[in-house]
Amino acid sequence: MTDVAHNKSETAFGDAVKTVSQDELKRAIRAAARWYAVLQSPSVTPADHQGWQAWMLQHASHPLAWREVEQVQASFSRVPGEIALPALRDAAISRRELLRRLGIVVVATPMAATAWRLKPWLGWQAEYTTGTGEQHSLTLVDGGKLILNTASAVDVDYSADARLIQLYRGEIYIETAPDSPAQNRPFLVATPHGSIQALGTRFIVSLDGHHTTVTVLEKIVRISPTAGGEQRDLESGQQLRFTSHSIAPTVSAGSYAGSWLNRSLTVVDMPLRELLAELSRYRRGILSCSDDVAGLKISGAFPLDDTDRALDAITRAFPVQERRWAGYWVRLTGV
Amino acid sequence: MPGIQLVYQTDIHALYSEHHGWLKGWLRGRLGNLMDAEDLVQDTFVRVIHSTQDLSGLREPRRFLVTVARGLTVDLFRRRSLERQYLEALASLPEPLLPSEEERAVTLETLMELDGMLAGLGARVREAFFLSQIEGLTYWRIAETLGVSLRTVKNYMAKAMEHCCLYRLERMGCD
Repeated sequence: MTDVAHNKSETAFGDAVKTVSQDELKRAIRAAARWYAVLQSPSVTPADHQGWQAWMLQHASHPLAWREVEQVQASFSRVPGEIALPALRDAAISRRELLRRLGIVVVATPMAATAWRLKPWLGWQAEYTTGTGEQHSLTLVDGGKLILNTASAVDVDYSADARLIQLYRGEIYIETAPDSPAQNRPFLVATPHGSIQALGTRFIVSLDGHHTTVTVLEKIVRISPTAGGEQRDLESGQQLRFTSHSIAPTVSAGSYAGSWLNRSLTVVDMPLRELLAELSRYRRGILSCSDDVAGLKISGAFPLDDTDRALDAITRAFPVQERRWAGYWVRLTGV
Repeated sequence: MPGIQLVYQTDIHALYSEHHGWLKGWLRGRLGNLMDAEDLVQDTFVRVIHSTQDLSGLREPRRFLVTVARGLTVDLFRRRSLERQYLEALASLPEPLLPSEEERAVTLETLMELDGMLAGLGARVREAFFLSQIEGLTYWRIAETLGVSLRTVKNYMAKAMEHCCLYRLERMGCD
C-alpha cells in the first residue's frame, strides 16, 4: 500500500491532482492543533485569524488537517456534557486497570502507513465563535467594537465595498466607528433573514431558528429582509423582529435590553418559562418548568456566569422547587 | 490484482483454520464466557482481514492474533462500562426526555470514540481538554481550576487536539 493519496478536483483548490503524504498530514495536524489552541484562546487577535487563514492556503494538507480538528470538536459536541463526563472522566485510569487485570503490557503500536483519502473540503468554520456561557469582545479594524454573546458565531468580512458582519448563530452587540473618509463603506450585519445597516450606532442583533431580533441602543439602523419589500428604520430604544419575508411591528425595547453585556440578565415581569428559555442559552443541559408555574411573572437581575445561582434565587423567592436529573436536566415545579 | 488477492485469501484461510480454535480457548479462559469468546474470535479475524499486515510473513501468528484480540477485549469491556454508566444516567430521566434507541446507539458510539481518543493523554492535559470541550470553560477558568498559566493551558489544548486528530487518522487508516 502506498502512503500517498490521490484525488481529483474535489477540493477548493482547483482541478490539479493533489497528493498529501502521511508525513505531511501529520505535520499539518500538529500545526492545526496549535492554531486551534490559539484561536480558542481569550488573547486571540485579528492578526492571529489572518495568520490562520494564510496558513490554511499554504498547502493542500492544511485544510485537511483542520478538518480533523473540526471533526474532533464535532465528536465532543455530539454527547451531552453531563452524560459524557462521568462516563469518560476516568476512562484512561480504568483502561489501565483493565489492561492490568487482563495481564496486558501496554506497548505503543506504530501508526499503520496506509492511504489517507482526500475528502472534499467542507467549508471554513466561522471566524469568531463563543461556546455556551462564553462572551467574547473584539475590536474591529476600523476601531468599532463587536461583542459575541453566548453560543454565537460570526464572520467579519471587510472588503472594498462594505464592512460586513455575517451572523450565523447567537447574538452580537455592535458599536460602529466611522470608516476612513477615503473609503466610507456601509456597515452591515447580515443574517439568513436579511441585513441591518448601521448609520453610526450601537445595536444588538440576535438570531434564532425563526427570526432575527434587532435592538437599537443608540442612533438608527435600517432593516432589509432578504426577500425584498418593506425596509424599516429602527431608532434608539426600539426593537423589532423580522424574517426573510416580513417585519413585525416595532416595539419599545425594555430598559434592560443589552443587560447581557454586563454578564447579567435583567427582566421585569417575564413569565418563568421565557426566563428559563433565556437562562438556558447560557448553560448546558435542559431547563424546563411545569405548566402550573410557567406563567409566573418574575422580575430581577440574574447572574449569567453562574446560572445555578440564578435558579437558586428563583426557588428562594418564588413558590417553585427544583428537581434535577444527572445534573443535565433541571425542572421547576410548583411547591 | 487478483493474483495477490488469491494468495491473501489462502493466508487468511490457513490462519483461521489453524488457530481459531486455539484463540477461542484462549479468550474463553480470560473472559470466562463462551459467547463473548466466540464473538471476539470473529471480530479478531474480521480485523485481521482488514489489516495491512503481510500474513504470509508472520512468524508467530498466535502472538499476532492475541495482540489483536486483546485490543478488542479492552474495547468490549470499555463499551460495556460506558454503556452501563450511560444507562444509569438515563434511568433517572423523565420519560419525555429519553433519547430514542437510535440516539442512544449514536451516543454510545461517540462515547467509545471519545474514550479511545482520550485514553493516551496525560491526566492534566486530558482534564484541561475536558474542561474546554465538554464543560465549555474558557482558558482563564481552566488555568484557574488547574492552577497553571494561560500559556500552559494553550499548550495542553494543542497537545490534546493533536493527539485526538492522530488517533482519528490512525483509526481511519486501519478501517
